[in-house]
Amino acid sequence: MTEYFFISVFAIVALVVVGALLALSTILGPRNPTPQKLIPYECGIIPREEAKGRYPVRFATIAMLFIIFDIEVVFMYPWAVALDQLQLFGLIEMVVFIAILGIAYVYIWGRGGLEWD
Amino acid sequence: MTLGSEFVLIISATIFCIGAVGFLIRKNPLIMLMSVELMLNSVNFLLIGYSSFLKSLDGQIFALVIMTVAAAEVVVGLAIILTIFRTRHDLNVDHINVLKG
Amino acid sequence: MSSLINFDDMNWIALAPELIILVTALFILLVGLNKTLNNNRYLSQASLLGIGAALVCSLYLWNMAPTAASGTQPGMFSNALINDRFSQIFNVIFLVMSLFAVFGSVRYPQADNENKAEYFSLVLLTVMGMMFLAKSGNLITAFISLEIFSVSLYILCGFSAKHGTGREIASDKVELSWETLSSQESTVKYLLTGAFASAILVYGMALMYAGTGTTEIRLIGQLLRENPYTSNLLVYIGMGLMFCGLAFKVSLVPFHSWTPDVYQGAPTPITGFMSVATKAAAFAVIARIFFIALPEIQEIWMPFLFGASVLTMLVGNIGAVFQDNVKRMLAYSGIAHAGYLLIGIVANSQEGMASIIFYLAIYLFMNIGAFAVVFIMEGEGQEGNSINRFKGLAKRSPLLAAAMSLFMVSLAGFPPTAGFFGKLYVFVAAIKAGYTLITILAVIASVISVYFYLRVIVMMYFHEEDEEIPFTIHKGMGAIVTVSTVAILAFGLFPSSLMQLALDSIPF
Repeated sequence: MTEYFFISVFAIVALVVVGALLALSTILGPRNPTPQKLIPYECGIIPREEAKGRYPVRFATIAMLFIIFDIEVVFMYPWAVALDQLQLFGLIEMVVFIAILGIAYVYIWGRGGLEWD
Repeated sequence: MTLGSEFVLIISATIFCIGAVGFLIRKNPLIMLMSVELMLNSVNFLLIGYSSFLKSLDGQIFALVIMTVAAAEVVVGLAIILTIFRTRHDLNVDHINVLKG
Repeated sequence: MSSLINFDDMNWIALAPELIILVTALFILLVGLNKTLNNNRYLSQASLLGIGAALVCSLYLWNMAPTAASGTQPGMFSNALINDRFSQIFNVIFLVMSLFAVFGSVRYPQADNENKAEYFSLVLLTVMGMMFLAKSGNLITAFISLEIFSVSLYILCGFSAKHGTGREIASDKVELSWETLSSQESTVKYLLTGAFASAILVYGMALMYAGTGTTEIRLIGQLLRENPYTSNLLVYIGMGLMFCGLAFKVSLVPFHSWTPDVYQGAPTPITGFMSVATKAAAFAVIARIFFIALPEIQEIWMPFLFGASVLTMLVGNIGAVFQDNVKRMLAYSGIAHAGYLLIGIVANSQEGMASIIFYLAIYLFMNIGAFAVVFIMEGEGQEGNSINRFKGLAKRSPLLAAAMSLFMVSLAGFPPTAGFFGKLYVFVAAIKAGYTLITILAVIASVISVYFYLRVIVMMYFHEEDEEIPFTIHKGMGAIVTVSTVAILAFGLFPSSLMQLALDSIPF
């Protein structure tokens, strides 16, 4: 146990010294930030955008619409599994569900959401 | 070897915390939305894990619902962020700061 | 194979208001595809028709709803939804509030906005989500309906922003108008904080499920009562996270910081609508969860609600003192009122719950009226909602100034206005439950609030106007101001009848 005691004393001393040094330098050190100093690279030009170049994605809207309609299929799996027990009422419920999705689809179509470009 | 319920709890709590921390420290709204997705997925993990421990189906239904809701939320979020990006060409939440008082 | 579906408790008639609103919303969405019909006038008339029909249905259903006396079961659709007077009276609050958003269509959506149908459709879908939230008897339905209204509101907050065409290049800098900048900020802040709050809320719900093994609110309460061992750590943490998530929606301190920015940037009709309707919806579900599911462990949640209530009242009222923008001031005042409402939950009695309904009904009229006056006086740009625009209003339009003074006095809680009785009932319920301390703190908080409410009145009556500020009183907004004034005076003179109505609506 004694060696653990010495190691822990050493660790505590190290932590206290490091902490004290950091604290002192933050408290006492002069600090006058200018916008120039705060930019990531102090020399050179101000970064206008992130490093990876961007290019326009025309299909972003269609991709988002796809996610919405795609994920709704999730409700059809449990329905399909239990269809024989849900009987006619289950079928009607699913028709209503798809009809509401259909209204959304008609709306998107009508608003030109599916037009490429 | 079977996994205990603690396993599910710890994993989901860890993923949830990663998502929460990610949300709080990132400045890009897209990454923030991704962090929210991570949080919601940890919820799904918890629900499905417990649904099998508790032998009840409520959790699985809840998970399906969360998936669709998360998709809807993210699509709306992406659309909002896209419109903002189109007018500002900048995606840092710190720069969206005109309202104060 | 026998049918798994229980047809007995499918009470479609009790869902009539929700279904009417849903059909109207979808109808408006499709009508908007036609260019000539995509016009604020037609669309607002269609929405008014739907809202009116749903309002009549709700009032009828309130009368028909099962009560403790009639002996019928309130649960329907396998207890996923609850049909009781409590939910129907909240329906009325949401529907009346949405009228304000529809009447605001003189100015929003703007003439050059091509998404007019979406505005009305989203307002109606928001209302539908809130109505389902007040009805929900299961955590799953509560979550879906909460998300329906939240996601719709994210979009509505950004409605006065211009959106790009997708053909801009980064090099051509366009000067963005103040409306666009502020509305964009409002929507993105609401989206991010709202999504974060929903994630926290649903994690709490999942932990609650993990702890008890069910998502049905009534069943959770029953399990906690019958098997004390189910109230384990998972339930406690789940409860805490659920409260945090809902506190975001109600904007309780310390989860309030998004509120002023979002309220200021959103179009004024939406701000007015949000300020009352989201609070009412979230309080409905807080009441259901805490009174039905978790009454057994109330000694654990009570201190947190108590603290949140006190902090919310003080921070909201002190924050409002420093605001020069009327919309921001009303946002902070809304935070403070959420604190007063929470006292009703802390009181933890039937009377406390009834006083919440009473307060919400009163607050609805005070706020709808105040926001209508703000809407009438609203100008362009950054100073469009400045308090300075109210200078000398008493000379130019004595009636409007008098109405605004009444709303402010009522919000501050002076007798004999309705706002006084709203506070009084909440405080009486708290004192009866033995919470004298919170009442004293609430009274101190309302004394602070007198300063900023009276400041508006002082501006209107005792200041000369700097310059002629033109304003027009649109018919719809004029009607809202008149109705609110009459309602505040009527409820101020005869508060007991409304309180009796609220007491009749308490199911538990």
